[in-house]
Formats: sequence, C-alpha cells, structure tokens
Amino acid sequence: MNTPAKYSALWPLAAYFIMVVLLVSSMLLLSYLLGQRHRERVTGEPYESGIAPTGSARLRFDVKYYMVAMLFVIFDLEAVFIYAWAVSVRELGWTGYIEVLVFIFILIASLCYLWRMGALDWVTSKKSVPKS
Amino acid sequence: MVTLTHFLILSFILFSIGVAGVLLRRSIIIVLMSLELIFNSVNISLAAFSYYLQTLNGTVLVVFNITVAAAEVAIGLAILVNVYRSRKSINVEELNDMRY
Amino acid sequence: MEMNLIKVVPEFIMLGTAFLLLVIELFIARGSRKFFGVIGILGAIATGISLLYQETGSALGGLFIQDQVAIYFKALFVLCAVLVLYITMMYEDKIKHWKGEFYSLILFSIAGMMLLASSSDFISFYVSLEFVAVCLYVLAAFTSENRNTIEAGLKYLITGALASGFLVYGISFIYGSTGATGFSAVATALKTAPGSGFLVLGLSLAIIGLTFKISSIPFHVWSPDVYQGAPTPVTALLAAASKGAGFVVIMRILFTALGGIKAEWMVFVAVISGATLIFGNLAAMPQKDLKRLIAYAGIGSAGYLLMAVAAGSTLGAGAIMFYMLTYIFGILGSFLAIVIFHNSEGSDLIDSYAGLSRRSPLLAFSLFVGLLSVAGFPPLGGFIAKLYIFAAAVKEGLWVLAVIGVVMAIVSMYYFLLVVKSIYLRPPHNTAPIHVDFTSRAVLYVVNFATIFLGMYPGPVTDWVMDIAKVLF
Repeated sequence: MNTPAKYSALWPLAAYFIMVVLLVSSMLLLSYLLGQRHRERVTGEPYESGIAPTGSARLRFDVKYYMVAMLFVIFDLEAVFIYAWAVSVRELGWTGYIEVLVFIFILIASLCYLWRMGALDWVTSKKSVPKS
Repeated sequence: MVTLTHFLILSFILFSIGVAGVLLRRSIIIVLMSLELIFNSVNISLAAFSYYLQTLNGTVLVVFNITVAAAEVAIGLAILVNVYRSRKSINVEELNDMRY
Repeated sequence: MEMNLIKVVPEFIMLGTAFLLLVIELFIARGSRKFFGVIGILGAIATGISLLYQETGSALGGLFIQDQVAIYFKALFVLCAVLVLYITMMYEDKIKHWKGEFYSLILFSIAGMMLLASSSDFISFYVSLEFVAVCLYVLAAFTSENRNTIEAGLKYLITGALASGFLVYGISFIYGSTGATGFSAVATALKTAPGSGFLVLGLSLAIIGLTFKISSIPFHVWSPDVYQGAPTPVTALLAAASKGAGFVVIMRILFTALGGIKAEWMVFVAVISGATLIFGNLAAMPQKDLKRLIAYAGIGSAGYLLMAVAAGSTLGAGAIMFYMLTYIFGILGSFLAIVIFHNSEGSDLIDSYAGLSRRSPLLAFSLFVGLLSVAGFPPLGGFIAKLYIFAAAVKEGLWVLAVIGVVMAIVSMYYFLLVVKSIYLRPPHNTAPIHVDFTSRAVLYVVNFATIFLGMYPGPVTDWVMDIAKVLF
C-alpha cells in the first residue's frame, strides 16, 4: 500500500492541475502586458450594457425562491436512494424493483399533494388553495 | 499516507466548529448552516469507518443521514421564514418571550 | 434477506390511515376536520387489533424486531394516539390552517414511534427516530400565527438537530469500534473484544444525544418553552408518547446492544439521572403556567426513569414499562382537562384554575388524579411505578440516587399540591360552570378509573410487565 506505485495513478490529475495553473496565469499575465491601461471616472463601475447601475446588489429576494429551492433539495436528495438501487439492480431483482416503484410512487404522490396544496404556484391564487 | 485517524481528526474538527457555531452564533441562518456542518462531519467519520472496516453499514447510514439533514434544514428554513414574519428579525437572542 | 412484511402490518395500518387523511384533505372543501379525528381513532383501533395477532420474530432483513416489549410499547403508542387525537378534536378550533395535516402528522409520528420501538439496528433506529422528530418539529410550530408557538418550534428544531448530531456521531464511533450496527451484532462483538476508548466515547455521545427525546439533562432546555408554546395536543404527544419512544430505544441500546459494558454506562446514566431529578423538580416550584410546570415535572420524571435505566436489571426495565403506562394515563387525562379548560377560559395560568372544583367537579377531579399520579401520590398508579423504580435502584446498590429520588418525590408533591390547592381551596374568579360534553366526560372517567385502578390493583399488570421485560437482556 505504501509504495509510490499507489500515487503514480494520480499523475493525470497532477498534470491537469499544472496545466490549469499555467493557462490561467499566462492569460492573466498576457492581458496585463498587452492590454491598455487607463483610469477615468467610470472605469471602476460595473458594466451593465451602458446603463448606469442603480441601488445596491444586496436586495431582498422573494421568499418563494427559497421555497422552490427547498422543494428542489428535498426531491433531489431522494435520487440518492435510486442510485443505491441502480448500482445493485441485478442482485436485488424484482423485489428491489417493486420497492423502488413504491418509493417513486410515494414521491409522485407527495409531488401531487404539493401541487394541489398550491406549494408550486408562483402566484397565490385564491381558488386553488383549499386551506382548511 | 492518509489513515483513519486523519479522517477522524478532520471530522472532529468540523464537528466542533459546527457545535460552536450552533451555540455561539446569533443568526438563525448561521445556526442552520452549523447544523448542516455537524451532520456532514459525522458523514465523514461514518464513511471513513465504513471504508476501513470494509463493511457497507456506515455508507448506508451516510445516505440516510444526508436525507435527514436536508429534511431538518428544510423545516428549519420554513420555521425561519415564519419567525421573520412574526418578529422582523432572525436573531436567536430575541426569541425570549416565554419566561416564568 | 427475509422481509416478513406480515410483522410490519400494524405500522402499515397506521401509515395507511395517515396517508388516507392526506388524500381526503385534497378533495374536500375548507371547514371542520373533526371527522378526521374519528377516522384516525378508528385507524388506531385497527392498529391495536392487528397488534393482538402479532407473533414475535424479526423482519425487514434484521432491521426490525417484533418482541413482547415492542408490542407492549406499540400498544402504549396506540393508546396515546387515540387520546391525543381526541384532545386534538377538542382543540381544533384554535388551528386556523391545514387542520387535516395536523391529524395526519400525529399519525405519522405515532407510526414512527412504533417503528422505533421495533428497531433492532442503529440504522433503522436512527431513521425512525428522525422520522418521529421531523413530524414533531412541524407539529410544534404548527400554529405559526402565534409568536410563542413559532419560537417554541424553532427552539425544538435547533436543540433536536444538535442532539441528533451528537447521537449519530456517537453511533459512528460505536460502529467504528465494533464493526456492526445491528444491536445483537454489537452485543456479540462486545463479547469477543472488550470495549475500547472509541466505544466509550461513542456510548457517551449517543446517550447525550438520546437525552433530547426524553428531555433530561443536558438536552432539557427545549422542554419548558416547547411545552408552553406548542399547541396543547402536541405538548401531550411530546409528554407521553415521545418520552416513551425515547425510553424504549434507550433500553434496547443500553440493555440489549451494550449490556456487556454495563459498568461503563451505569455511573454515567446515574449521574445524569440525579442531576435531572434535582434540576427538574426544583425548577418546577416557582412556575405559574400549568403547561410549563408539567414540563419541569416531566424533566423530573425523566430522572426517575433514568434511575431505572441505571439499575439495568429486569426489575428496572419492568418498572420503566409500568411507569410509562401510568404516566400516559395521568398526563393525557390532565391535558384533556387543560384543553377543555383552555377552550372555556383561554388561559393556562395556575392562578386562573382557582376554584375549579366549584365550576366543574369532573375537570378538577381529573387534574387532581392525573397530576398526583404523576407526582407519585398513593394510592394512584404513579406511586406504585415509583416504588418499583426505587426498588430496582436499591437492589442494584444505587442508594444515593434512591435517596435523591425520594426527597425529590416530596418536592414534586409540594408543587403539585399547590395546583390542587388552587383548584380546590381558593375562591373562583368567575363562578360560571364549565360545560364538559358527554364524550369528554366518558373519556375522563375512563382515564381516571385506569389511573386509580393501576394504583389499587397493579398486580396482574406488573407481573406481566416484569415477565416480558426479560427479552431485553
């Protein structure tokens, strides 16, 4: 285990790393050497297609973005279990297949539930939300 | 050579940072991030044990732990939104309405 | 891999009822959801009947064990489900939105506790524990218009997640040092190889993580705020069912999996128990809100139950099982009375209970019986349970702990008698009688009768419980 042979498999990674460093530094260096330099009143301002930027970038986002992000994360993570099934699909056979079908069915059911409850609506409409 | 001990030390450091974050930070967002850090530090420890013992139990627990952490933080964020709505603040120190 | 799905039928019925409620919720208009409670209670009764036909054995490829202890605790959780659903029906008008989800979340959490009672592997144990916890986090913050509720929910979530982190970190060390996650596999591994430093570290972290569920030191801080702030049915669920679920897994982990290193955890658990007893009971004394008082008393109860855990014997395990039975009747009867009183008066302060005996003798009597049973007043059920716990502790030589326990039992009688004094002896602020409907009367009579019966004639139940507790060792 402790021989250099173990590390020799890592050489493409090392080569890739070195290439990235070389490429980036050469690009920065070339643009520094060849580019023109000037300093006017608006040089430091961010470029927004010729329109003067207004306000701060630290504005408050609508909470709905977090809602969607949250739903995405939850459903996204369930894919982990499907991966676990996928790597051993032959060993598990039909039992595993049925289990995964049940699992996916529960996910779809919960998605339908969210949909019906209006959690996916970007604009809250009064008629589709049966708040009891 | 990276051994089990290295992984355990890394996991311990991350766990401690997470616990310190939960106990010391005032913003609820940071507290939730620290909780996520705790769960992920445990994942490192479990995965390392699982690899060195050559059994899969630890890996299975890691998969479940990831889901659990996501569920807890999702609920945490949902509650956080309601906290902000009712108090206009997400500072833990202002959550002290109930005293005997 | 043997699945044996027939052994999981009670859990399936419970989960099926919960899903059914969610589906019904989708298709009906807004309005009252009281009939959800009825469907839920019917589902819980069906679960209880299916439990009667369960045979012992393991299922789900060794992740799930159905033994007498599991069936006993599942029956307790079903009982909790019935009573908590009834309390919810009484409370429902206070919930503004998503009433249907409230019922199904209660059923989901009970199903999780049933799985927890049967888990025989650290993986299934952790997953079911989190299943319960996630349902309870949502429930504790359910009426989010209320400032106190949302504060309670957030505190519960943060403490709970921190405790889960400790627990799973502990599990990782137990797994790392024994190479197994099954409870019996861990026990076998401990027989061949003695415990290492990692194991003791993992054990301590796991116990600390578990103290959250049972609200004992060091993770007790959530309990007063959550009991006070959460919707009352959730408080009842936390006080009765969640505590029972915590203790059944503590017994499984410490007695079954780690019974081989009893010397390592006995002192640790005993110290936690003593500290919890002293803190809970002393802090309960100045409380003015009844739900908050019950929270501190609940911390004290966790101390008593941990005393029985520290004893680590069949007697201790049986005592825990009997204590939980009396505790469920005592605490849920009190909470039903609290909800009915709150519906009429809109207050949980002990002061507002003044003169209750003249306004509604039945509510006053239910609180009297329920709270004094929790305090351990003879001849009620809680007294016998505490007696068994002291016997278990003394038999294992935990004299100091038993003495602390007796002193604190007297303290707990003091603060519960203050409540009783307010109910019976002080003049009422308002003399209008409180109406209690027929069903609630019937439920209160049954619960009070059970508490008194368990105190007067505990023999058959205790014999049976002591007998089935043997399977844990």
